[in-house]
Amino acid sequence: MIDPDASPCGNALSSAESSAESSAGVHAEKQRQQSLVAAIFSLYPPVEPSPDLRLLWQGQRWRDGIAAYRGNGLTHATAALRIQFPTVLVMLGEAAFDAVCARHWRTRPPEQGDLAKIGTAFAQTIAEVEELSAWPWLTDSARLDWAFWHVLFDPPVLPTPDDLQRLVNVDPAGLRIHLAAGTRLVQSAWPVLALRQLHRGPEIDVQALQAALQLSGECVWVWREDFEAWGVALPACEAAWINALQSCPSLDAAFDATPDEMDFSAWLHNAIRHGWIDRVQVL
Amino acid sequence: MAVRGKAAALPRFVCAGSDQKVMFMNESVHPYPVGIGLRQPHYQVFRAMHPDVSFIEVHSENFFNPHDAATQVLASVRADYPVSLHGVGLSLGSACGIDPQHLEQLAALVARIDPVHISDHASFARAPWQQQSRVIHASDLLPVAFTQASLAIFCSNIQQVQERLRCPILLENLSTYLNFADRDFSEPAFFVELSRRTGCGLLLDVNNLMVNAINAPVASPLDAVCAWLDELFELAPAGLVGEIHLAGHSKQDGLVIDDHSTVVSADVWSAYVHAVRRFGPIPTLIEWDAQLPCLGILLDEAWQARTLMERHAAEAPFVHFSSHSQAGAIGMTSGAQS
Repeated sequence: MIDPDASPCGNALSSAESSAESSAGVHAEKQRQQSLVAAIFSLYPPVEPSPDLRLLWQGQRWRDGIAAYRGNGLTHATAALRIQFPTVLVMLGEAAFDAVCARHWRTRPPEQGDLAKIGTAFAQTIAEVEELSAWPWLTDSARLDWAFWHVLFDPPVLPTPDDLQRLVNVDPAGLRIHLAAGTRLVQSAWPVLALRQLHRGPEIDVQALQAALQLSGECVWVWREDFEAWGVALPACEAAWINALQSCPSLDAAFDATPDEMDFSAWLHNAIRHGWIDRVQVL
Repeated sequence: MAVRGKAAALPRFVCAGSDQKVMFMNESVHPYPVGIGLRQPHYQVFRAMHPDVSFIEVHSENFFNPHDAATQVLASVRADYPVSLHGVGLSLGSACGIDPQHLEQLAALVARIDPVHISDHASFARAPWQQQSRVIHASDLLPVAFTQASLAIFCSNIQQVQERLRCPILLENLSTYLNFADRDFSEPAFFVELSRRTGCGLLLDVNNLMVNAINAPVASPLDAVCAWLDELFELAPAGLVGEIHLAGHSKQDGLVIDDHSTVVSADVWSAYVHAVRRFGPIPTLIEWDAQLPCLGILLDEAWQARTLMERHAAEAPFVHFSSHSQAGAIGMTSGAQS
C-alpha cells in the first residue's frame, strides 16, 4: 500500500513522493478509486458521477461508461460461478442463476484477482435469498458443487509404504490418520448427490427427481483423483468413521467412535487406491 | 497527417475441423515473431496441430492452481513454445497496493513456466470497500488518471512486483470507457516516464488505442491512433515496446467495447502497420477471448500479422534485438530496459 506520509524508498519513487502535494495526490487517487468501485458495486448505477471522480464525461457518456464496467465485472463473475456451480445452474435455470450471481457479486464482492475463489460463500448467498426458500436443497447442492470444484485445488497425494507399515506395526492408540487435503465430507438433509446426478443430463427426469426428493439425506464423500473430482454417498457408519478420523486424537479413539458394522479393511483398500490418505502419523 | 500503412487483403485459412493441416512455415526461430492467446477450448487441437507460431500467451490467473489439468497442459505446451504470461488481476494502479498472495501465486507460476514475457495492465481493481474495513477486487481493468500521483502508485507497485519476480514486466495500455478531466501526462508520456523510473516495458495494445479513439470520439480514429504512436515513438527509448496485442472489438450500447470477440478490424491492421514502421518487428499476439472461433481463424490472423510485419518492419528507423534473453533467442525484441 502506498502510504502518503511515507518517505521515499528505492529509486522508483520520485522526490515528489515525499512532498505534501504528492501525498495529497495519492490520497485523492485513492478516493477516486474507491468512488469508482462503489459506483460499480452499488445496487443501482449513479445517474451522475461523484465529483471526486473528476470526470470529463458526464451525463449519458458517464452512464454508458459505468454500465460497461458494471456489466463487464459481473459477466466475468457469472461466467466463473457457472463453472463452479453446474448443478445449481441447471436447478435454477440461467436467468434465475444469473440473478443470484448479481446478488452475490454486490453483497460479497471478490477479494482476489483470481476468480477461482469467488464461489466460496455462494451457498450462503443462496441461503439468504428468500425467494429460493421453497427449494431448501439448493444451499446444500451449492455446497456440494463447491466441494467438487474446490478439491481440485488441493495437491493429489499417495501414502508412502512407511505410512502403511505403521498401520500394521504400531498400536492404533499411538497413530493418527491424516486425510488428504483434496477430500471433503458434505453432509446434508437432502439427497444432494442423487440430485446432482439427476441434473447432469440435457433432459431432467421429473419423475426421478420427485422420487429422489423423498429420499433421506446423504453424506457425500468428495475427493480428487488425477485431475477429476469424484463423489460417493457414504453409509452412516462410514460417514461416522470419516468424522471420527477428522476429530479424534488417535486412530484408537476413531475406532471407538465408529459403529461396529464399519468394514475398515475395505475402506483402507479404497483409501489407498483413491488417494484419500495423506499420511499416518505416529503420536 | 500521420503516416500509416494500408493492410492488404491476405489469403485466409479455411476452418475445416480439428484435423486440418497448418500451412505455416515450420521454423522455430523466426525474425517476425507472432503468437496467439491460447484458451481452454483450443488446448487439444493446438497440441494436435502444433502450429508454427513463435509463442503463445495465456492469462496468468488461469494457471495459478499448480495441481489442475490446465497447468499440466501449459507445462506440456511450454516444452515446445515460449510462453508469455499475461495477467489481468495484479491491479498495479491500485492506491491500496497489490495483493501479496496474488503476487506469490504469480511468482510460483513464473518459476514453473519460465516465461518469455510477464505482463499486466495499466489499471486498478483493488480498492477499499464501504467502511474501508476490507479491500475488494473489481475483477476488471479499471482506468487510472495519468497524474503524478498515479505515477507514484504505479512505480511503487511495479517495483514491488519486479523485485519479487526478479525481472522487468510489461504494462499494457488500457481501453477505457471513462475519461478523467485531470492529467499531468499524455498517455504515451506516462508510459515512458513509468519505464524510465521502474524499468518496465510497454505491451502496446493497438486495438485498445483504436477503441479509445472511437469512443472519444474523434473524426478519424485511425489518425488519432497513429498520432498516439508517433508521440510514443518520439519519446520512447529503444526497446520500450516489448510486445504488441491485436484483437477485435464490438459496438454495444453506445460504446465500442474491447471484448476480443471478433477479427482484427481493418483500421487496427492499418494502425498496426504504422506501429511496425515505427517500432520494428515487435512480437505480436492475436487475442481472442469471447465467442472463440476455431483455431484456424486465430492462426489466419497471426499469419496476417506476420506478413505485415515482414513487409513493413524494414521501414522502422531502428530495430533493437536482444541477444542475451530467451526472447532474443526466438527472435523477439527485448522486453524492457531499465
